[in-house]
Amino acid sequence: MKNQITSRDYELLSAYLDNQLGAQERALFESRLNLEPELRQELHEISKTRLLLRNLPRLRAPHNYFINPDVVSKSFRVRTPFRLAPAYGIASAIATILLVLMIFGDRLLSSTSPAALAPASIAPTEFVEIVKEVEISAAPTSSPAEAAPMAMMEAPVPATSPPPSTNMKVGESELATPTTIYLDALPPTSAPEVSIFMSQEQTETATISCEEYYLSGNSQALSLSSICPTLTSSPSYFLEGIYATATPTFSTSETPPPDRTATPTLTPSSTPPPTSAPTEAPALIQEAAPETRIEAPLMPAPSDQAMDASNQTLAQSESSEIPGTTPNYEFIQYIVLAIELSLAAFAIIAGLIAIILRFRAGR
Amino acid sequence: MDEIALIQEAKGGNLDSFNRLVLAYQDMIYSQAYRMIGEEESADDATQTAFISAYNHLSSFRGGSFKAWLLRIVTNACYDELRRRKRRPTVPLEPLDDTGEEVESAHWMVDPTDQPEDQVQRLELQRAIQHCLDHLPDEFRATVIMVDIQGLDYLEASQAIGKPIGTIKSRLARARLRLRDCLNGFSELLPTGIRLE
Repeated sequence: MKNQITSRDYELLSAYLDNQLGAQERALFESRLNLEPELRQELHEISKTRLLLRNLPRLRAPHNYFINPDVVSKSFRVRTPFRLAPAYGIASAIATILLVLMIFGDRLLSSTSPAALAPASIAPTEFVEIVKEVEISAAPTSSPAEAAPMAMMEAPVPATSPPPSTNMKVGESELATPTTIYLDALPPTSAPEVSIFMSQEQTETATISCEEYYLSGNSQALSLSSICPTLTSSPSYFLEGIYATATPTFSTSETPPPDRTATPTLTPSSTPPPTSAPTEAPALIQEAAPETRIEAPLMPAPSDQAMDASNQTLAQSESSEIPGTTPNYEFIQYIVLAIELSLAAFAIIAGLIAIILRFRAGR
Repeated sequence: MDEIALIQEAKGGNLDSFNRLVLAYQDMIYSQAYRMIGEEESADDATQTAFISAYNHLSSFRGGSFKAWLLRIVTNACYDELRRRKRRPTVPLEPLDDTGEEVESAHWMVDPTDQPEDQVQRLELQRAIQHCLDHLPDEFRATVIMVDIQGLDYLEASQAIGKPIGTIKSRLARARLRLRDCLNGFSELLPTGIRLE
């Protein structure tokens, strides 16, 4: 009959002895005790076992376990390194966050640098403005030495500049003149491609314009006098001449040499060209080329002497300003790389120390 | 001064207040350690370790039963000691004489007092109970010592062991049943009034 007593019954027995049953449960169990002698017998034996345990003498401590300051200080000294584990973990996390911010910041900086924005700023419609600005700077009523450096110092236009409008007039595009400075910032590798591409596209139109210039003999058409000889001799010089008017690296000759490119002077030559340079600029040039052809002959043109004078003045002023204002992006990138490596090393070391300390504390 | 005030002062770094708490609970803590381990020196070490650990982690005490909190610390210290004993071979109780033979009647095993027979029988009974306790699983032993020897209720035992009350009930019932079976083997030592049948 003892086999009928389950482990649940023993739990009820034990709880009944300790007075841990509820009123209803207790009444139910007492009714079972009256009906089941085996259960009553088990209750009796468990009760005696419990009584034996409760009658055990209370042991006395062999001595006082007072804590003295020496013991406490030793124990604190031992545990102090373990308490630094969270600090190392937090330091590692902060270093990791800073590293991520540095990496993203570096990418952002490299994508928004003037060198990176340069290709987007050479939208073909702006070539008209370039010519006009050069004319203004070379005009007798203005001071070329002041106007040209001002153009050089203007802020960059974001790469996401709107596409050129189809009905843009020369006079209406004056507000977009800041883009002229970024011809200076063109990477050496991208400038020749753009200029050659442009000149091939515009060879026919430019020839027509020069024919008109030659046939008309009008003084207003003299604006092409500095362009047409270059175009007829070598088509690629059409835009090279425009580059030459806008960049501080000038040549005093009317016809630029064939290998001449828009050399960037405001940015180091080693600055890598952005990835969007070769793909975006030609497309924009293709779209805007017709307007450029139509509007260009309407502009007033400076004389050759005025161009030479303005070029020389620009070159002098630029050469005197560059050393003080040129930011060394390469050096900055080295600094950023060094900081990133330091943060990565610190994050790894601090994280490892935190893991080791936690592991040792757990043991 | 009441216990809560002593605890607050001890949390503030007052070592005297903590030592007053030690004085109040050291017998209970040592008794728990001895019943858990079954050996005086190890129980002494476990008790000392428990009080030092309690002082170092006093800031983690969030209220409730301070007795249960101390019992939990000393029980964990006993678990550590028991695990360490399982990893290492036990030291023989009997010392060796000059010839390398075991001395069966070591001097510390001889009771210096001339005790009456009932007193000797009581000591034998205590050893038998301790023997049965030692053969319980550690978790069962800790539970039955806390409830039946230390006098904790189920809620305090649950806090001290860190298990729900249902687990305490189950462990206690099974521990008592095993003890009953074990003590049946020492029936000649049991008093006639409580002799198990």
